[in-house]
Amino acid sequence: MKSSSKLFTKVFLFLLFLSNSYSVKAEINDYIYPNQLPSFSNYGTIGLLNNPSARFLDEGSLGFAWNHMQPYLRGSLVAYPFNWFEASFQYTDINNQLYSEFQSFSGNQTFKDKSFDIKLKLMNETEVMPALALGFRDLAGTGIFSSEYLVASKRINNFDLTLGLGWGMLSGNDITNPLTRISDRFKVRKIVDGTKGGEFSVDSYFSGEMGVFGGIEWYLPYLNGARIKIEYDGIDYSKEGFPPVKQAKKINAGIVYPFSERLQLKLGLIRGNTLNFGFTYSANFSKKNSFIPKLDPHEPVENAEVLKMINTDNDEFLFKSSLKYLADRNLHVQAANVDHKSGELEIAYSQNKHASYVRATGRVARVLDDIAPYNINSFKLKNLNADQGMYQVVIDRSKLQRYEGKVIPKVHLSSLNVLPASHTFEDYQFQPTTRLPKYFYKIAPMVRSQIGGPDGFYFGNFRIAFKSETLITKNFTVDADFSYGVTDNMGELKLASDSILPHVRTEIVQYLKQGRGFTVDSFQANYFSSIGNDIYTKISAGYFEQMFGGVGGEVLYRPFYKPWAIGAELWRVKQRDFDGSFNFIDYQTTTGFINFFYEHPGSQILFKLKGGRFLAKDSGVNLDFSRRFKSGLNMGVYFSLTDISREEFGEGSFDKGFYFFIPIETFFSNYSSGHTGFGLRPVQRDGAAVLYHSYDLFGITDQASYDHILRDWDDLYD
Amino acid sequence: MIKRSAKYILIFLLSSCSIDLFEQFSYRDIFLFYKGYISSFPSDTISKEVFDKYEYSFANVKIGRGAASTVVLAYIKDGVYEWRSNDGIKIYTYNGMIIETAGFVSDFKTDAFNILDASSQGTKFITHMAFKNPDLYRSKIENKIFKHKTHTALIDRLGGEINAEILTHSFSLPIIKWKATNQYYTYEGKVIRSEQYIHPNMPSVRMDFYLK
Repeated sequence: MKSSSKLFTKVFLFLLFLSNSYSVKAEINDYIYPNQLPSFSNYGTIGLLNNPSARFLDEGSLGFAWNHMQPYLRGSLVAYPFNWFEASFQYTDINNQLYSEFQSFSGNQTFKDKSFDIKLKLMNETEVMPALALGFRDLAGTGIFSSEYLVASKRINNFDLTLGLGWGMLSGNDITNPLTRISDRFKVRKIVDGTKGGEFSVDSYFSGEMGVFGGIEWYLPYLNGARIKIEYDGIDYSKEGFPPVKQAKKINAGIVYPFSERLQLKLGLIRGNTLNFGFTYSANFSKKNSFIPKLDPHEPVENAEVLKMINTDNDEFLFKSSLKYLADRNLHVQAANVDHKSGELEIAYSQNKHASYVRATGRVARVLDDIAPYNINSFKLKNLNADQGMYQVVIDRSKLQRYEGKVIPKVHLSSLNVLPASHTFEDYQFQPTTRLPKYFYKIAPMVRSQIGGPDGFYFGNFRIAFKSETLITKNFTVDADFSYGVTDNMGELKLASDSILPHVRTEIVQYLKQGRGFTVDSFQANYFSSIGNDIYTKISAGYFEQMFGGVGGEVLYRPFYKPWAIGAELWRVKQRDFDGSFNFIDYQTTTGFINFFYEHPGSQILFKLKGGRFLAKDSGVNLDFSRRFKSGLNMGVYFSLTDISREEFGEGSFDKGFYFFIPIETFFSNYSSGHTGFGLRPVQRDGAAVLYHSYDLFGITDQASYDHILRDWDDLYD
Repeated sequence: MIKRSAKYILIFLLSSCSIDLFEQFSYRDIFLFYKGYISSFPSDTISKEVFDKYEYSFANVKIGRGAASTVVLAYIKDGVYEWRSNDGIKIYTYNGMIIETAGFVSDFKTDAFNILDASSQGTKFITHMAFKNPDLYRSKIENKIFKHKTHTALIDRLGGEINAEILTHSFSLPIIKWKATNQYYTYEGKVIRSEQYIHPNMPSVRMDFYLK
């Protein structure tokens, strides 16, 4: 007993020494152990090999992990909307089980499982205390990987130690579950029969057997951040997946080699009998211009002094030079006024180049500063979108010059110089002549995909898309998108809809198979207007999307100085023919919603609530939470609850999913306003289905918000 | 490496669903973007006309396989040239060797010595180097410079070609076990191009000098 106490003291003192020596040498260690970002487990989230850890990536990170460990081949998407929250989606091929027992249905295809995992940080690591996290695996899936865990991780020098307690499939090393002393409900873990998957089995959380797991991640010096992982496997292989899975040893070991901070390669020996291979890619997209530096600065106007002189006595010259030099920078003057009494030059402009509205405003102001005569003291800049006034900023010219290269401090901003903007062209002396209608088009490749059905893992259709927009007037547009299939393997799709609701979405196989050639993807006419302060409207008609066409409209009240908005939409729609032609089939319905939006200005968390009638005539609500980062990255989750039962809904039990959008400019050295994204809904069913239509009002009035202008104010001199 | 990462993500997003990647970029942009990764982004070719347009001395800078950009000579003090880019990056050179940077994600500073000094060639000597982000305080580096008479290269210069001699500078930073080899292209006793490793977290930096 005495000797073990001495040993413990020695170990403690040694660990204390190691932890102190680490902090002293932190800077050198960054070079000796580079690429120290935490690595991923075989379950697609940050962890050891099979065990999770209490480590997280920084908020705004996105990751992809691919792992092969018999009998599992797993692809994972991981997102970090907060420093304390990890959310992931797993797609697993389980090759010791067939997709179904019916050969005619799924052939020899192996079982596929979709699941969501989350992990919450409970406590940050300190000098003494470890980081602590609580996690859930397979939170709302079929439950074959379902487990909960409480885990602690502590970094000591180049060792990262992890110890945890697990329930469900993580209870392989059984110890007494102390929660059974609190309630009998924790004694036996309930397995819900007849589940359609996708349900939260709250009653079974933290119940049944409990086990311990742990391990160590040992960072190797001078090896680009390579590390060895050794763990005591917490998985209960008698329960997980489709037993039996043989386990020769409880100890797993592996090595992780980071090729860069973002790309890691992994090789391991699991269960003493299975080789494991995987790679992960993760990156942080939250910070402005962090991915690729921008080489797209403001270009000063050449011969500015000469232009100032020419423009001094002739307002028309000033207007025309504004038109030219702003258009050269993709900023389009719509109207202008010059007030010599107050010394104010007012410009109404529209633009589609800059995702940051303030950057666009700053660029307009700097061009005007170059060309406007010296008797102009201030610029009133009004931004228009779809011919509606969005916001206006009054910029004092002397301040603009004084703070050049810095930022006009936010303290100089107030409701006096950032204003809502109503707009009528009659108010302006100068307007460019625009020949309407105006026609824009582009041709682009496109891929239609169907992933993870019983017919096969991947079906794709590579298409050439033609996209066009016609401006009939400045607030009346017609968008037409067509595409033509070049090559595909959609012919092998055969899964028919089993839905007992109207087949508003589950006929996807028919749309994919019959729409392999030429299709009209959308053909939508839109009329935008503003019927009062902060009230925006849209009326649309045509073929809105692949599956529905009709007529309808939207109204939105978005008070400029408030963080909330409320709107309504109503659509009368008819289901389109499967072949993507102009024809319709019999099903028609009326769908509509009351929409409420609230965005917390500090955290930039947007909460959307949509309540009303969905496409399959079910009624209910859709809730959507998303977070926007400084870069424009957006991550969100949503779910819907309607008046249909789980049985009526079918597989998945209720509608849910997640998405992220990344600004395209993230990947380029030039600024642009587009974005690309990825949305994932585990199962597309007919319940809680909404109509997709272009130009939703909340999206196109994004800049009609005082908070959004203040949010981007740092971009003024970008 | 940063931009290569972007390629992987674009491939992933392109092969996923519901995207509008081409919203703002034409086919040509995309083609040039991919071409850049396959064969590296080209340096800006400086023609005689472009050279004449510049009022001041300038240099063309290319980091790794990224696109080239221009820095302009801001001033010279005690033989140290300060070059500035329009996005705030500063590069200090001494006889064509980068001795300090400011404004990169990771910056560095090293002792200035004359890379062209014939007496230092072929011998080992010690200087010092420091890094920012992550910080590494002034640490010893072991240098060796050598030059082979036959080691030359043809370089495009203002529309023509010149035969430049190559100086090779190997160095190691023992404290973090970092080794690299730089090359300096000289013509008529001046460095006209350098290819230099300045930080372990960065690819090599190539500078083509156009002095007036």
